[in-house]
Amino acid sequence: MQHGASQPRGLWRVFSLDHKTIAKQYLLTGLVMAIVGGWLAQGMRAQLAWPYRDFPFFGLIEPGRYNALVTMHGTIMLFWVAMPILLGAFGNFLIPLMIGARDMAFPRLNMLSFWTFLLSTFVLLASFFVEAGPAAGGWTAYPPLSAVPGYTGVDLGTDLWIVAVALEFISVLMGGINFLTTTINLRARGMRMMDLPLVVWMQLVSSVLFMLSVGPLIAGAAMLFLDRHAGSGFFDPAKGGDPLLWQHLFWFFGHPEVYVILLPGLGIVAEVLTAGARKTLFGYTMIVWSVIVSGLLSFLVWSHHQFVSGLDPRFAMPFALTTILISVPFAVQLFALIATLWRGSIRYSPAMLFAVGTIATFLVGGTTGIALGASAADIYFHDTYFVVAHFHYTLFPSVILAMHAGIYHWFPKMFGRLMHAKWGHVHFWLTFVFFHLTFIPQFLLGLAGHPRRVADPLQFDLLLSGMQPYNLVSTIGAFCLFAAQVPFLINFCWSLWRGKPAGANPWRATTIEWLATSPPPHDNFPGEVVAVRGPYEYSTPGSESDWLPQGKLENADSVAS
Amino acid sequence: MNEGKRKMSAHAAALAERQASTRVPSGRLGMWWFLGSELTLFTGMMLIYVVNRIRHPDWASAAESTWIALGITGTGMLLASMFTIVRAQAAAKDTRGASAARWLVATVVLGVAFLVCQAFEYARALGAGLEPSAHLFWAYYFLMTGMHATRVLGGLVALTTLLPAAARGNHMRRVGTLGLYWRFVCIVWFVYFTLLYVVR
Amino acid sequence: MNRWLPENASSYGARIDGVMELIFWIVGAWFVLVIGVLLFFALRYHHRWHERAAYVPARTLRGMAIVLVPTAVILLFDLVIETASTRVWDLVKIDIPPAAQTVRVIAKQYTWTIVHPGADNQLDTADDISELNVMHVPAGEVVHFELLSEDVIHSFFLPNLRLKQDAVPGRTIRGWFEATRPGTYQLVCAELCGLGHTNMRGRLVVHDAEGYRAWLGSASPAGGK
Repeated sequence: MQHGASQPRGLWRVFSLDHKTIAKQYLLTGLVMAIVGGWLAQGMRAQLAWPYRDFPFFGLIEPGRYNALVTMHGTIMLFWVAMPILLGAFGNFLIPLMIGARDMAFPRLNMLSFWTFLLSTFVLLASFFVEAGPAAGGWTAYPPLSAVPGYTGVDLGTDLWIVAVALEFISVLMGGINFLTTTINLRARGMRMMDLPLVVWMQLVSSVLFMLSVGPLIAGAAMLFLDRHAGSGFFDPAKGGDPLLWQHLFWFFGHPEVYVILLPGLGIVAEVLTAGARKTLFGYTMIVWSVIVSGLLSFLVWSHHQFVSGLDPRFAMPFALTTILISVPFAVQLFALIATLWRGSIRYSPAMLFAVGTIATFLVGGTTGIALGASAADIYFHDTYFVVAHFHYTLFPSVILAMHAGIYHWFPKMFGRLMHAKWGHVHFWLTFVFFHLTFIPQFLLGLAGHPRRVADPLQFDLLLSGMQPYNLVSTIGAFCLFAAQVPFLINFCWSLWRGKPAGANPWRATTIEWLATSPPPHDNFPGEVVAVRGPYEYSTPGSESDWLPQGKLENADSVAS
Repeated sequence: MNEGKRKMSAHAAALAERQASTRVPSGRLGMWWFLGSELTLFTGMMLIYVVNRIRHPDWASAAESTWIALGITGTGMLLASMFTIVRAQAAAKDTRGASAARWLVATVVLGVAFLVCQAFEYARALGAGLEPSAHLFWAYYFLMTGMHATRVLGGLVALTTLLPAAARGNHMRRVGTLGLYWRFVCIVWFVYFTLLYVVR
Repeated sequence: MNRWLPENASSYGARIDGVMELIFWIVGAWFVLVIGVLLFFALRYHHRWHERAAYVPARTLRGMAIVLVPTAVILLFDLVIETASTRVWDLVKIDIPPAAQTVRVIAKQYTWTIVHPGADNQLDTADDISELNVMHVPAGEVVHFELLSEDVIHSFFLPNLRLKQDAVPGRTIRGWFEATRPGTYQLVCAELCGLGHTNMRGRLVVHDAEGYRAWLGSASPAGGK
């Protein structure tokens, strides 16, 4: 907060302390990694449709390489796309601007957080070029598979994977401390916690969830490292250890992590939805409390990933119960978002389309989750393509669709120009249609018993005869889905220089970030921001205009004295 | 131009100061959040160890070969350092920089002494073949004390970096914030010491 | 749904299918309803047809009712599903019935070694019949299995029997099934276990009484010689 004087110059500007620049750095890194992660998925899908062909760009994908593709696709999409974009980019960009602050509470820590993240990115990418390639034990890295190099044939790659993930966690931890402190301490005068825009609340709860769940996994990573290099046996039954310990540590983190990613996505949707429908958020207080409740519950559900793991089967009932209960707060959140559209006056910008698409798609993910949370049905569905389809139906909307909603919505604020709307519409429809084309067949493959993470579906002659066309359709969908992002990338780059100048508030949105110029200067606001009303005063009765801004700027000189 | 910029930023800092929504300084608040995540890390490890220890009564014999005299010495160092850090915090509160710096130096010396004790313990254990691979108890011993030692080391680096400024009476608030961290690290050790050395 | 599920061949398979079906209908109906409402709102309240939005902050409990009431109904349905599911779970995984024989399944990268008890119906005797990747059981009899792993975690998955159980090194995990329909079925490893994971598959041969006796006779170390 006292860094305004020391703005670096020239090339040194990359070491910026400005939360907006750091947000853009996160966004750029995240988008590059999204291309990498999406590209890996193309290799997987090609292999699943036409096993062991010589593919252009990929060559022959033998099973070992296929396992590496599976592992790295999952790892990258969760930790190097979802986290940096939803938390790193949108959290950093929006939190100070939305609460009327000039920057984060700890700008230096913020910069350190990004550079740690970038370092982790390079470590991860380096693992593609070491002998025997990158980690191949799945993104869940279950030992003993991940603990003994001989089991996967990958040695150094796994170590780099552990180091990269650990660095990434440290980076997110630093970010989370910043998000929490900033929101609690640097809010504009007059802004109570219950006046925060929903996306800020979501970032807060996400940060708390992450910080309180990641500790045991960091200990677990240290154990894995010791098992690999010091000959200890934390996870080795021959030495008195237990492989299931890792699963507990992993999923105690892993399940809250799902919400760490989901909540900011839903928050972005709430912001876009209210502005697009010109309508106040339905049940703000109710949503905030349901988010907090779902956060608390998320610490009590982890063993639903382990129903058939060899855990005492009597543990299944309580965890199935908590899992079913957690659907309640999420039902509240989704219904409230849908009710926000009710009697609105909707304008379909690309962002709005993506927001509504997020809700529609996430509904599928949420409802299919019930089938996996019910222990008896999970006996069959566990580790089949049904699971793969399910979590893509939760993660794709909350990461990719919500991210696009956010980018189309805040691009003008980030870069001062509008993205091309027509091409945005095209991009949405292509993405939406091809996503479903990719993943609906996977539900059916899962029903047929198609196990996940197998390199060659043709080998299951007794089980999957006649199912290969589904794999083919899914693969074609995946190719098209990847190609459908090209219009977005072109639109993004073109709009950076050639887009229509946006003005301060192109969407006539209420929240405080729209008070600043587009893009905002280093100190964000020309004067002191005072919050005068709630965040979503759209179409307020008795007001001529259909929006009333949450904050107002007070003359800088008058408060300086 | 530069003048204007400086004026502008002083202005911004003044605004930010006025803006604080709670009475807790940001540094302290951030530290509390950090300690929250540290707490889950160290309690997590503790719980895993305790559950394992209950499930494997035979670990008691392995635990007997810890060097308890040295452990007590190290614990004494940290106990004393808790006293010195509290004095440093008190001095910092009254902005008595020189006094705060003296107590910080004492804390750093005690912290280093603790690490030296740890180093002796490690050297002896490894020399006697009590490696992480020898017995799961020793694996947990090295994991838990090692994780803790990285925190001590981190604390020492932070305290040492703060020293010159503190001696001049600057950054007095940071002394308080770091003191919070140091006391946390000490308390974790007391619990771990009890679990690893004392409990039979 | 039944179109895609592999043919059921176990005594409890139909119960599991029943839970899936229950979930499918309850959740499916809700899904259609909610997505219908969403679509209706999304089209009906287009600004062309609805010029100015209403102001519905839903600050009171009464105002929130249109969200809270459906949620309460969902909770109710959730509990119905949970009850049904727990009953079947207990049947499959907890209340293990007595069995005519116990078969040992040893998973190792990337094969299944199946040790059948042989003619004396006792494991660890001279007449044990060890087969690679093929399991033989009689139809209509409860069979226990002991699941072991010698290296990493594998998962013993018989889709037609609706049976899945991870094999964890260091543990012997017991379970049961009763195959009802003679035939040959796919055995799959469902947990990523390394380079050859995709090749780690086998067969379950369910014999009728006569066929089982014939196999026992031909495969026994004593009978074979």
